[in-house]
Amino acid sequence: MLGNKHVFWEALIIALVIFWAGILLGVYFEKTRVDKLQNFYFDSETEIFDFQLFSEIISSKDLNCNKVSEKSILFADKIYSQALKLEKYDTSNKITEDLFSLHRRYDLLRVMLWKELIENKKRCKTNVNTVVYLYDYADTPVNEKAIQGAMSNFLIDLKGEYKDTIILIPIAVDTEVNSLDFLREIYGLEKIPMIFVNEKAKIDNLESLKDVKKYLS
Amino acid sequence: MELITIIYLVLMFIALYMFSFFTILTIKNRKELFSYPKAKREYFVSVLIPAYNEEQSIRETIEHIMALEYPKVKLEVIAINDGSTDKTEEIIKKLMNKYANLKLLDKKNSGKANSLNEGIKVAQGELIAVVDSDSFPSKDSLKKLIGYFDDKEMGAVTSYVNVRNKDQNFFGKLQSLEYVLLGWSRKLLDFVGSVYVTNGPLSVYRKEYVIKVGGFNPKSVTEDIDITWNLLCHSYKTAMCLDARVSTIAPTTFKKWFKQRTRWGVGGLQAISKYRSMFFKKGMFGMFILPFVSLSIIISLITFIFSSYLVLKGILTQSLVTGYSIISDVSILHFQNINLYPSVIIFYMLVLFSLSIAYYHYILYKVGYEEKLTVKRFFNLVFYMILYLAFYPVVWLNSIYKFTRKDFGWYTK
Repeated sequence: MLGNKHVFWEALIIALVIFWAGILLGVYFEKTRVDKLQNFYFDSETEIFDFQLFSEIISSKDLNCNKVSEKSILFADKIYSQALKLEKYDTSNKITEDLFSLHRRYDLLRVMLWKELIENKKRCKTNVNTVVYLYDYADTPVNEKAIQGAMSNFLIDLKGEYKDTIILIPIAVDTEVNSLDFLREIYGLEKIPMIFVNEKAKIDNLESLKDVKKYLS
Repeated sequence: MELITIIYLVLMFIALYMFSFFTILTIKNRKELFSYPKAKREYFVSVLIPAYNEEQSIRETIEHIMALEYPKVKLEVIAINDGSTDKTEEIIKKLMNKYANLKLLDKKNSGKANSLNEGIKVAQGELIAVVDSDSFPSKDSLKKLIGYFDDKEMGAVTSYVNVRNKDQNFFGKLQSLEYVLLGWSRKLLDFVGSVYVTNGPLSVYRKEYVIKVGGFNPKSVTEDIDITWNLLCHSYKTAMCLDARVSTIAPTTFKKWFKQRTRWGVGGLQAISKYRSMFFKKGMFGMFILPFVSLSIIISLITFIFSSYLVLKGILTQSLVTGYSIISDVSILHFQNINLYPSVIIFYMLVLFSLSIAYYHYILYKVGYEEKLTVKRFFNLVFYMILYLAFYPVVWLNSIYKFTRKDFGWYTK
C-alpha cells in the first residue's frame, strides 16, 4: 500500500496529459479543416466580387447575358460543393466554435450570390433556374430534421438530373444573417424548411416536392 | 461546445483516469501480482458450505475441499443444508461416512447469510472459509489465503474465480473473460487496500471480527459485499490472492445470468444505501471504495442513457428520412451523406478501446487464461467489450427498479 499511495495523483496527471493532448489534437484537426475551408472561402469571396463586377460591366455595356449565366453556374456549383463539405464537418462533434462562424460567412456569401442572381435575372433573360433551399442549421426536432434530410436528398437528385440548368443555393436561416431575414420577409418565406424556385414557387412540404420540376424553365 | 460533447469528454476523462490508475498499479506491482505471504503458523479453519438444493454439485464441492492441501487436523468442514428439498442432505450424509471431519448442519430454509451465521455458531476454527456449494477450490488455494491472517488487522481474504463451464457455450466464454478481468482488477485494488468484495466461491474470514461486526447480514441479497464493507467500515483489512484459485459454475442462459446480475446489483445498491453515511470518511473505504463503486454505477448509466438516446435518435431520424424519401420518390442515400470525418470523441474512443484490448490480452496472458492469442479470443474480447458491457447498464436499471420497490428476493433460486 505504501508504494501505491501516490497512484491516485499519478493517474490523474497521466490522464490530464493524455486528455489535453487529445483536446489539442482535436482542436488542431478542427483548425486544419476550418483553415482548408477558409482558403476556399477567401477564393469564393474574391470570385463573388469578381462576379458582381463582371455582371455590372456586362449590363452597362449591354453585352451577351449568356456569359453571366455560365459564370454564375460555375461559381454557384463551387459554393454548393463547399456547402456539402461544410455540412459533413458540422455533423462531427465540435470542440471549437470556428465552424459556426465559417458557416455564417458562407451563408452570407450564398445570400450575396442569390441577390446577384436576382439582379441578373432582371437584366438578362436566361434559362438558368435558381433553387434556394432554406433550412435550420441548429439541432432541430427529429421529424423536422428528417424532412430536411429528405428535401436535401431530393435536391441532390435534382441537381444530378438538371446539372448546369439549375443553380442550387442551400442557406441556413438561423446563422444570424440580417440580409437573408430581409429577403425572406420580401418573398414571404416564413416556413422552414423551404425550397424556393425562381423567386416564385414555394415548396414547404414533401408532398409538393415533385412540383419543383414544374417551375423549372 | 454542445452539452453532449461535454458529457462525452467528461466520461472520456474518467475512463482515461481509471485506465491510467490500473495501468500504473499493474506496472508498479508486476512482481507482486501473484505473490502471497506464507503463514507463520497453522490456523484452525472451519470451511462453511451453505447449500440449498445443490444435489448436482455438492458432492464435488465437498470432495474438492477434502482434497485441499491443508492439515486435516486443522480443518473442519461444515455443510449447511438450508432446507433443501432435493437430495443435498442425503449426499452430504453419505460423504460423512467417508470424511471424518465433515459435519452436517441441518436447518430450515432461511437464506445464505443466516446459514453462515448458524455455521459460525458451531464452527471451532479461528478462521472461517466460505465456499459456495457450486464452487471448487484448487488444492493449494486455502494455504495461499491463510498467510494474510498473520496481519492482526486482516479481516477477510478472497480468491481468484475461474468459470468452470466456460466452454459450454459462448455465454460461458464471455463470463469467463469477465471473471478474469474482475479478479485482476480486484487484485490491483488490493494494492491500495480497497478489495471491496470477498466472493462467494472462496473467501476466508477471521471469525472473531465477523462476530464483532454482527455476522453476515440476512437482509442483504449479497452478503459477501455487505460483510466486506462492514469489515472495512470497522477498519479491518481485506485482501485478495490472485494465485489462490477456485472454479465456479456460471449461469449458462441469459435469463439466469440476468437474475444473478440483478441480485448483485440490488446487493450493491443495498450496501451503498446502508453505508452512505461513510461517504468521504473512514480512510480508503469512505474516500475511495464507496465513491468508486457509486461512480461506476452512475457512469455506466449515464453512458448508456446518452448513447441509447443518440443511437435511437439517429435510427429514428434515418428511418424517417428513408420513409420520407421513399414517399417522395427520392434517392434514399447519397455518397454525400456518408461522413468519414472523425471527431475528437471518436479519437479518444479508438485510443481507449485499442489500449484496453492490448491491456486485456496482457492480463489474459499473465493469468494463463489460454496459451495462445487466437483470432477467436480476440473477437470474444471485442464482443465482450462492445456488447456485453454495453448491455450491463440494463442490469443496473433493473436492479435500481427492484431496489426502489424493495424487492429483495433471492433471484437465483
